[in-house]
Amino acid sequence: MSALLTIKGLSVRFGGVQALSAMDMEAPAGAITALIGPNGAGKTTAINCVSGVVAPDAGRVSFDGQEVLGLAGHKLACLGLTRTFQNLQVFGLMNALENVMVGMHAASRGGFAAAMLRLPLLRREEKAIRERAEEMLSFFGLEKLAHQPAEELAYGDQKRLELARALAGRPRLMLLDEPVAGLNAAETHEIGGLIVKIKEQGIGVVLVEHDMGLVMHVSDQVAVLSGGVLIAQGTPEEIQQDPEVLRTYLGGGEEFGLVA
Amino acid sequence: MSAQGKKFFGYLAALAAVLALLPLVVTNPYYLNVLNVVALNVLVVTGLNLLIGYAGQISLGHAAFFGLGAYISGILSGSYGWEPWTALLAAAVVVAVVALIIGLPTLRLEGNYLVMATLGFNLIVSVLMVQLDDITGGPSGYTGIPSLSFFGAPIASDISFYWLAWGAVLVGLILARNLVHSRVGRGLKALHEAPLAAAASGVPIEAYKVKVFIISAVYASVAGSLYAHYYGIITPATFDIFKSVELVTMCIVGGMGSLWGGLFGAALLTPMPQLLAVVEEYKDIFFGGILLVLLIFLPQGLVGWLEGKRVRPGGRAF
Ligand SMILES: Nc1ncnc2c1ncn2[C@@H]1O[C@H](COP(=O)(O)OP(=O)(O)OP(=O)(O)O)[C@@H](O)[C@H]1O
Ligand SMILES: [Mg+2]
Repeated sequence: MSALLTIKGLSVRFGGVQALSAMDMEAPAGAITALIGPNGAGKTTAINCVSGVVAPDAGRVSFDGQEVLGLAGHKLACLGLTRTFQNLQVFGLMNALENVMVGMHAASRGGFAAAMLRLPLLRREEKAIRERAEEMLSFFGLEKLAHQPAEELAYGDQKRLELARALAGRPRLMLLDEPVAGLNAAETHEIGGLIVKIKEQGIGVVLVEHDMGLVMHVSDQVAVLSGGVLIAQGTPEEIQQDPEVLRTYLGGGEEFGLVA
Repeated sequence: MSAQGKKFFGYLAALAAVLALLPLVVTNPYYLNVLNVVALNVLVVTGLNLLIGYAGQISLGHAAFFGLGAYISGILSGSYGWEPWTALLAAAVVVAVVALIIGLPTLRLEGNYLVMATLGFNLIVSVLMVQLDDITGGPSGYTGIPSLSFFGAPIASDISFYWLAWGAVLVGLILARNLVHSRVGRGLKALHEAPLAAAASGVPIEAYKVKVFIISAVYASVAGSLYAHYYGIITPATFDIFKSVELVTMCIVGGMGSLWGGLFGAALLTPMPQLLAVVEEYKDIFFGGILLVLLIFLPQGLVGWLEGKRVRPGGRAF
């Protein structure tokens, strides 16, 4: 498997905090690569660098062979790289359907003039956007909530809505920052299943998560960050045996959900 | 057509019907003139609403765009013999370029730098209108602007201008409504609500802000050109910073992010100074006061309040 996303020597400093130090990581297409590590390890910072939200002090990020550092955020979506947010970022006053329709932005083209004049191209496109958004809502079990303002949705449904929005434009790689944080076991299980289904469509997934049961269950590869340093990358089995990883997670084996 | 679309065009048909019947009742040229000024304000406010209500950016320079539209179109046709419609188009192009030049550097910054930039811009334009008196006629104004014409018939009377101005309003509303209910319109609402998520979805935030600013400036320019060819005379005072405050007030009174709200705001506030002498005298205080009271007590505007909803940038306008 050749890497779709390659991160090399990524370093970020926030004032006195070295959030990332020369981090290297790869994520292939059509596989789930988990990125784990304790609170403050730098996982979100890494995602933010890749998605153009944070400019790193050093390092390179290439997506499908193309350098993407410094590209404006919206260009990445056009290249096929989307993300979700650890702190929910739904469009609260728009309804669920419209939220997902925004997710189709990169996959459609009609501009200001076409929109104002309602050109035929635009009307065709609008229909396709709506159909895809409806398909996404049912994939994530949100179809009944299509016309609810997003801010009125339950927390778990807003989490799902973000996934639906990120998947709508048929990306090649999705960066998911803690998609099941705050969800109960049943919801976690369900979303884990959906993430696997996403992977089965040939889409690469970078999964940032604290839920070790989920991580070890669904991931093909696991990368471990600690204090901004990548301390290990390997299969779930390898990671669970890695002495340094075990030291980082003081609880040892149980932390990884190995008991079951 | 979607339910929303049906509702919009239902309202629009009702508006058109009222507009068609109104001249049967309102025959006094003075009141027709008031209706015409309302129409021009509605046009500016409709454009302004796209900027304020949807993209979440405030301009205090729309009177200057309105004024540039008036002066450029007036001078090109009055001093240089351009065909008035061509002059109107030329003015719109110039204003679009000016808006691009103001918008590009300011809209890429986070925060409301546009307010400052447009405020300064309006002050400069006001000074130029007075100082360049060889071209503009100075403080006493520019006169001798020819009327627009329709297949050779001049649009000079109050009633003929009434049809033109309100026709322009209907077209302006349809175009704005189409924009709002499109991929681009959703992008505008999205960048206002959650810019990070909008960008991650592929919305080019800076470009969209600049473009919607240009469109709103062009609405103002067209209204200004219509104004100039209607009155035949224009003075700098009409386009000062207080006019900009007035336009923003109309936008907010009606309800940001509601195109019908802009219509109500303009229809309600425009006639006040013309009909009530007291308001005329203290016009600037009047509009400033309304703005202040509204922002404190009724931030969602009249239409939002009537709908019993809270602030909805770009919300259920239709
Ligand atoms: N914008 C910022 N300004 C200053 N410090 C920051 C900023 N963003 C992150 N940090 C710091 O950088 C470090 C890494 O933070 P980051 O959010 O990447 O961690 P994380 O691995 O995502 O943690 P968590 O599991 O809690 O989400 C932390 O010490 C955090 O306080
Ligand atoms: Mg994080």
